[in-house]
Amino acid sequence: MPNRYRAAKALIISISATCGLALAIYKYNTDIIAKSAHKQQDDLLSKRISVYKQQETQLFDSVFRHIALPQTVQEAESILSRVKRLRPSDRLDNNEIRRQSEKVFQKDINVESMSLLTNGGINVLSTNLSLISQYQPLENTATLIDPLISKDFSLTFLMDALSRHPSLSVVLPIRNKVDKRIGYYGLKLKPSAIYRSIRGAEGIAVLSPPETVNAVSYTSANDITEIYKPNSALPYRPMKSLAIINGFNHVNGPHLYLDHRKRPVVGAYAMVKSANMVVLVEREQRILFKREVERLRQVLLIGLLASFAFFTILIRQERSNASQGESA
Amino acid sequence: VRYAACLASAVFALALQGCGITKIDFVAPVSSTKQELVVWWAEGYYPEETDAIQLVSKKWENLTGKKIKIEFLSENELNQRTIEILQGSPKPDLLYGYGVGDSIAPTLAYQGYLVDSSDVVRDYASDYIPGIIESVTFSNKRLNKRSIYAVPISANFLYIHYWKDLLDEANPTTASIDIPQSWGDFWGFWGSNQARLEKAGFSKTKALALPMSHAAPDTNDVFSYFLEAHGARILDQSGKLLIDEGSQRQKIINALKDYTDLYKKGWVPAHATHWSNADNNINFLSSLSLLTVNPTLSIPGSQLADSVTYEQRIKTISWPKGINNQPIKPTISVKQILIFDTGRAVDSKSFTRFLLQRSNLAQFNEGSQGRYLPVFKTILSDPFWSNPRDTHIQTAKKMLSSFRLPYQVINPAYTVVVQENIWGQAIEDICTKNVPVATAADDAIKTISKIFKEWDN
Repeated sequence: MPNRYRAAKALIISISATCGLALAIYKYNTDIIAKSAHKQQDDLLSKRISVYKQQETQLFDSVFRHIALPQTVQEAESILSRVKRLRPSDRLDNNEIRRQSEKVFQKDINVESMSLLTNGGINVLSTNLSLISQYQPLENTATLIDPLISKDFSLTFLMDALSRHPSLSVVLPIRNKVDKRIGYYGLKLKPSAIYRSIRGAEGIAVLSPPETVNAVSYTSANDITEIYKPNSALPYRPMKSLAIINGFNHVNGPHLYLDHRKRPVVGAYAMVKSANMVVLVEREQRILFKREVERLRQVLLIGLLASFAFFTILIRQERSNASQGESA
Repeated sequence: VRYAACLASAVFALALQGCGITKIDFVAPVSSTKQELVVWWAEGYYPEETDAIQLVSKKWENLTGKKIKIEFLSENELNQRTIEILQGSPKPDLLYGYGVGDSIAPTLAYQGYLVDSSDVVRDYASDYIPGIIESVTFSNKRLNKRSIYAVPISANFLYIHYWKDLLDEANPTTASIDIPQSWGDFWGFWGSNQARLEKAGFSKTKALALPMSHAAPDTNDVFSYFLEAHGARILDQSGKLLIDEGSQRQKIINALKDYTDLYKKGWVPAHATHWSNADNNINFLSSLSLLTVNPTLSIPGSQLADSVTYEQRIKTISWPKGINNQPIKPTISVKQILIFDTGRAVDSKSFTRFLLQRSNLAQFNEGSQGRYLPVFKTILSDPFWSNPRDTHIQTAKKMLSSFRLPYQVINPAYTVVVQENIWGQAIEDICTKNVPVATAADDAIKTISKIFKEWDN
């Protein structure tokens, strides 16, 4: 083999060995970091979901108790049996509505609005005046939760056509003494409150580097989006990622994947069935592996410099051997 | 050197693969086995409808030992899939949809996709309400004959509903309110009550929730009653297009002017030009309009569980007389089972016959909660359909005594007019673009003539 090829071969082997070694070390170290990061995120995810579930249970338990109270049922029955009902009139008597609302609806409950609906889905009374007399198709735009049938319910987010924000309505049947359904107690939940219970649960420490927490849900048959954006100016765009798809399909996929913005992340995710929502706790690989990337760069740089130095020495040596051969 | 380069590449590839970005897997659709009878069925508006058909299919399976696979589809998806059959997409053995009868079935029969169902229908001919069988008698181009290509199981018309209590609010001092029966006075009555309601403080409530959009197929259906009221005939009994005739053109112009004037007078919600089929229901049920017109009894049906609203607040009334003071013949919309030529017609017909058995069909018809009327005389006399307190069903039943066939039954080319909502486009153009009525009418006439010419070719 000619001498010049021998030097080139040595260079390639040297570069390959350097790169291979550097990448193997990088992969080994990042695997350890990713596993540890995923474990932290998974623990955090469980804690945040547990806080949400606790708040959800408290809310619904208090509502179920309220709609079973004899005075609530009596007031609701009295309003619902009237032929003359409130309409979207300019002459709505706000004081009268407030008086009736105080008798029927709960106090100290953190929801957007409460309504009393007929069995046909018409709001006859509401804490939100603009909802009075509005029709709310019970099987299409709201989730009917019947405590007599099951407590294992699922909520459904929908994109509100007017506000362009995800909205979450729930209707619960009110039954009288003889167990006849007389109407519904409607709640419009606050996606912001759900979001805060998941993102900013008190007493749960933020990770280092800090995590991104997102809660996403279907808002139509095909669109998945965030349930709430703190910056109200930002539009709700459809989102898709491996984790989101796996989350909704209850699949335990890999913890290294591309997020909905196509950024490599380490992620933990889980579906909250009762809210039809997937919660994601993610951290960018770019930040988590920053030190390892630096180290990889250094090893590669040193290795490459050493390889080129070795190559230069070999070439010089070969040239000198060649010139000695010619002069001999 | 080559080996060394390969080694380097392999090392890089292995290292990069370690980054481990996995691909997204999509679930492949599951196809049915040839052993099963494949059925596409419109998802019921009420759970009872779906339950009834599931029960019937289970009973049929037990009786015959055969398997049936029912796929419940939304109305939109079912329509889309049925249209795609005409473009070569897979077809089921049997299909039932609410809108397919009016929009696609005559074309499927014309192009030879459907099996002649005369034998099934004839077995029950004596029980069918007169005129129902004619509504599923379609042309077949290949065989050059008209025959029964579908099995009717229910029917509906276009119904007029109004809020009685809201009308009372507009007329607080009037003991008994008479609704005029002549065409012009009838619509004017609701307009004048809008003004009264405004005075009574209901400034958000409009008189009429009538669709004015191209997007809502209901626009075509409602306008067909306006054409009828004005005596406009689109086709003759042989299926020949009549709209080029001067007198018919003028009647079409009058009907279009009449319909769109209601919008221009401010009696219809301004956004009715963007409505889909569900929007007039929601607008009316939210008390944002005094009256609406709707195919099926879904509006009172949605209030069935609230007896106050169903019995006392919402009323269903007959159509007023046409401009010539003659009663309007309502257009029937028959809901029908279609049997495709998939080589499983024997099983499809066996299942259909089983569904047509009185007790099975009665249960299915009742499952619709009155949204669709039965087409069997014996079922129509059941207590469910004969309750005198149920004024909605009683008004609907009366319409079965005299009706006219949809134009698409007479000539399948008219299915394209329905699908493309040509009349809806004309109405939307007049309301939103201020296109002169005569121009919009001429454009519609030109488009319909073109559709018929292309159909013949």
